[in-house]
Amino acid sequence: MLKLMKYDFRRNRDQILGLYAVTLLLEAVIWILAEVYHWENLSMLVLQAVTYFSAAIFLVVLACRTYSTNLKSYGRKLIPVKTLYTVLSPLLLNLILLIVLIALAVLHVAIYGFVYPDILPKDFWYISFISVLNLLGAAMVFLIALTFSITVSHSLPFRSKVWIGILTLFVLNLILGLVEGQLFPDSGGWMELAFRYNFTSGEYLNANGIEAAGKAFDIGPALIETVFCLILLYASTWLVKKKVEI
Amino acid sequence: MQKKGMYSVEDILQIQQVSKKYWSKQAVRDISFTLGPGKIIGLLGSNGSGKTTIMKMIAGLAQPTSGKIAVYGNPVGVETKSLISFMPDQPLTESWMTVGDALRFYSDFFADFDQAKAERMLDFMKLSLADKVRSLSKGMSERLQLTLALSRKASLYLLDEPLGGVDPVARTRILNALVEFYEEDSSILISTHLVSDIERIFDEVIMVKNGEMVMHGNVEELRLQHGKSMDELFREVFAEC
Repeated sequence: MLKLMKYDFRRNRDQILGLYAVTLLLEAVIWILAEVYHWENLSMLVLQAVTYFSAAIFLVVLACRTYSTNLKSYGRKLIPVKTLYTVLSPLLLNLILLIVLIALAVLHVAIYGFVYPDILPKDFWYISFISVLNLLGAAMVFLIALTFSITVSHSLPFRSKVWIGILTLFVLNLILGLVEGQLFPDSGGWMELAFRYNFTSGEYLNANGIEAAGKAFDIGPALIETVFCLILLYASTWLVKKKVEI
Repeated sequence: MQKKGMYSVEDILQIQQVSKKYWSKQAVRDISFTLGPGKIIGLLGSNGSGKTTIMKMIAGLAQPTSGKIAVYGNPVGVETKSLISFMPDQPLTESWMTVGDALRFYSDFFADFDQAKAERMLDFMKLSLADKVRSLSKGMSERLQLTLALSRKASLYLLDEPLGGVDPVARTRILNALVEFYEEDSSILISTHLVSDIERIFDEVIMVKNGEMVMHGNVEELRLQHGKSMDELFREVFAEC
């Protein structure tokens, strides 16, 4: 599997390294502009967060493209490795690349904390850690649903299969939302938990504290989403083995 | 020799009543044959006759709609992929690769890949490790694909149209490489419609027409029986196609 990931990375190496470089450059430019033009801290932080988020979206798109290319590649389909590894390798590579992006963002925030000691609210690191874990969980659920949708579209022998793939993704999200809503009406999935927190006092961004609103981690929806992912991974593997042809 | 039903377990490949349907189109219909070791077999047919589909099913890239395919008695799967070396009519390499990267990819994933043989073949094929895959001509690309396929010590080699779209000089070089580098205890199944160029190296031929097997036999026996070369026989069988 590590070898598969190595070749997945090697194929996209220039784009991945380029993305990291451009992201860091943009972050630096935003910071410099904010200093020169005296932007509010909030504007600067929102812009910087949007930049990191866009980079993360690009990595997810790249993972989907990698997986799709692998399904059509003679070189990949002929090697004697378990089908599950073919499904998992772009997912795990994407997880690693997202973690690297998060590490860059953490380093960035740590530099802020060093330069402007009062900018970060109390408990910021703890809440951020929980938030990042929930975001990673949400990203993996979304990516696994995307993987399944791509597999479905590749397993169909007719032309409008891309639309079936898109429809599959919508239906999957709908089903997951409905099941979670029915079983746990007061809880949220990983994505919702990632953004559910309160500033406890003081002015915005100069707050004295920050805390998770409700539970930081919700076992019920997390279990549902984990089972949902396992089912989709199993189904994707079966489809790749039996139905995806080139 | 042990027997397993109508097949010998020493057969490399057993194909039993295999059919393949793509929606309403019947690509392959009820094909059965076995291949023993040490032979070069021609899979002959006009364009669209089902040759590539048969090869893809043997290689595990497509699933038969019905019937069974086994390699040394094992159904097609991960295990048989390590016994079969397939050269499809599409590139096995990726555009970012150099020839050296392509060899490393094979060496990483196939335990039977012979690096020394690959380098000898590259030399024979006039290719260099530093050549970029995306800059290779069609003929050079075919030579690289053949190098990758034949540098494995596989039990069965599947070569899909190895001479398609290459000039006569490259064609001769590819044929010479086939004879020079083929492992004698294994078998090669070569699909082609360019029979005259290649018939000299065949031990057996299988002719496929509209997805059905219309002839399977030893080349010498067929020549004696029909009093014709394989090329003439091919033209006769496929006259109306």
